[in-house]
Amino acid sequence: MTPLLELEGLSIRLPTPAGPRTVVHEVDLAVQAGQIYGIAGESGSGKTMTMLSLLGLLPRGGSAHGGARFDGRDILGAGKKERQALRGRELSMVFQDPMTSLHPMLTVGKQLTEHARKHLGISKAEAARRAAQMLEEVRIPDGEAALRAYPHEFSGGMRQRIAIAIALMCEPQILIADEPTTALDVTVQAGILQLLDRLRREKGMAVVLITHDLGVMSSIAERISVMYAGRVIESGDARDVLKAPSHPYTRGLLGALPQPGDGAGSELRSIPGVPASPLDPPRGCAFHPRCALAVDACREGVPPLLRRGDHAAACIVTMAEEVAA
Amino acid sequence: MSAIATAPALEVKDVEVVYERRDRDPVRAVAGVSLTVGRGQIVGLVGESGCGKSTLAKAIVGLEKPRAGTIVFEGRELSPLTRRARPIEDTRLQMVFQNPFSSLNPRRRIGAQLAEALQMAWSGSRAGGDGSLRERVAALLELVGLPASASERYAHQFSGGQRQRIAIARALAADPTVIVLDEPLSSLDASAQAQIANLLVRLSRELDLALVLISHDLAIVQHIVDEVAVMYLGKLVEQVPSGELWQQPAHPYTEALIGAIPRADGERTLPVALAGEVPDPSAPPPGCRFHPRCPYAFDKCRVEEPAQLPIGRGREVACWLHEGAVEPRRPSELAAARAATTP
Repeated sequence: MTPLLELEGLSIRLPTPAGPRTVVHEVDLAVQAGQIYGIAGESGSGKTMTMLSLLGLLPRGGSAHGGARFDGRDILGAGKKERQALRGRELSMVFQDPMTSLHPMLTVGKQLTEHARKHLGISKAEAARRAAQMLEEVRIPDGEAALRAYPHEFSGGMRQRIAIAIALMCEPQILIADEPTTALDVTVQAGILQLLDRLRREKGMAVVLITHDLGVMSSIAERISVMYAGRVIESGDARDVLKAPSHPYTRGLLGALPQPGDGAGSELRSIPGVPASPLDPPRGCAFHPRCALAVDACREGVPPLLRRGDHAAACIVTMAEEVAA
Repeated sequence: MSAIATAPALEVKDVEVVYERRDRDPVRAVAGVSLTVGRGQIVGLVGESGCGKSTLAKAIVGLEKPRAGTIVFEGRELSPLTRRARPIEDTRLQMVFQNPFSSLNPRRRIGAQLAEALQMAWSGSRAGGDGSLRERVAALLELVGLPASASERYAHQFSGGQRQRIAIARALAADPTVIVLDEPLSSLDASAQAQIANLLVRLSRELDLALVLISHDLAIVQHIVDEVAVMYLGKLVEQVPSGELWQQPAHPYTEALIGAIPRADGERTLPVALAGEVPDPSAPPPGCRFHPRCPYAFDKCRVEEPAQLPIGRGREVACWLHEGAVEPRRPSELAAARAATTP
């Protein structure tokens, strides 16, 4: 099956005070229609930049190289007009903080209908009808009144649901959700995760879920890629990656999570050191200075993604062990 | 478990904090909360945003003036902060804020900021030992796991986790017996979160330091603290030793918070959402404040506000399900038993 969204060797260069730097290196990724694809990693790992590049939203002076296709069409080579048609229409994005992505001075109704009228060429009345329906879809009570209200009149969870409703107005085929629940309480987060899963089931919408929270990832993602210092270092079926992680970094992230009910005061196994900067990564494997398993070869070259069936990890140590075993 | 000495380090007694608003009803952000923190004990204060936990934290350290109730620190009643300096001994109650980037001065070297905190500390402060000021700064940095060279650098040259360590070091300069930390982990990535969590536990043990840890993240809190206090809409609904929390939450709200935590087990199980929204704190629901969202609410819950009911093993919970209880039980079990007996 042709993937809905396919990245092949996607790299991103950004201007920095020290000159242009490659911050995302050769990312491969394939999202099928109706699939929730998780991208995990800590801040600065390049997961947001990768997705922003698809929408043409890189910071000034930034550039994307390599292949990116949506429904078989080239995205990166597309003209401004073509890309604008794609953005918000077929490929939509939701950001972490709805308070900054929603316009504080415009009514919710205006923000829901504006782009839909432009993209779909529908009447004001039709757009309003659709907007009320969308709000109901994301479980905002009293849609009619909500359309006339301003963002500050809603709670954080409701604002994020409104931001999702805006993203869904044109029934996109794929929704890119960048840390959509990070600013929310767990109780509200659970509602958003259920909403995303329901939209996938009922509308066949694909979701790219960017999150640093492996619990969130585990609850709805079917496939996962883990990024570190601008590279995908592990990818595969969510179950395989989370139950049997191959890369020491993924293992470290999972090990650092508090296990429910494991008692107070027991030491959490943290990864030593701090995340590598994608601007100035260590030589060889970017994770080697923090890795307990590192050998001399890890300091030499950047390890390639080694495949075992469907599961891939960029670690010459663990993958060799597993092949040998 | 930390041993609880005779006099508690901190006592919060029936504290209420009310925000007056022009043309609108006042908000009782903290609607009568009592909490005792023993010496060297770590207490977690959890709840959703808007439940009043940060307001309570501010009231504890004196940044908000309570409408009613008292804060007793090491046996002395504290007055809210004013323009006049507090008695110097009271600076041994310290606070660490959520975002160290905004609480640290971006234009001064870390060493200068720590030195200033040491100089302002009470005269009996032994923080950092008895060497020169420079040596004491280095000792503070070492205490939080940073090299002495950090003192020559500026806040922006550190990662989020390292900045949080610096903020903690500055609080330690006053040689505190209690530190209130407002969401110290929430802006950090998982691995940094684990490092800071481990640091807090170690500091509490080594320095016999009591910590009040405010957080919305129950999973990490239960890992660090000795006891968890759960807050909903301005009131505590229950206090649980963290070892019992996961197996035996007594309040339906606590149970819901636990059920909403997604697990990274690769099983693709959706967390359970809690129905409804947090109500407007200026017009809390009648009866139990949680009843409109509670799956087990019955008639009494809608009219009468539950007091803290003793449920055995020294625990208390504000929930009518537990009326006449002799031992802590899960709300789901009690509700099932209730449904079986009521026609």
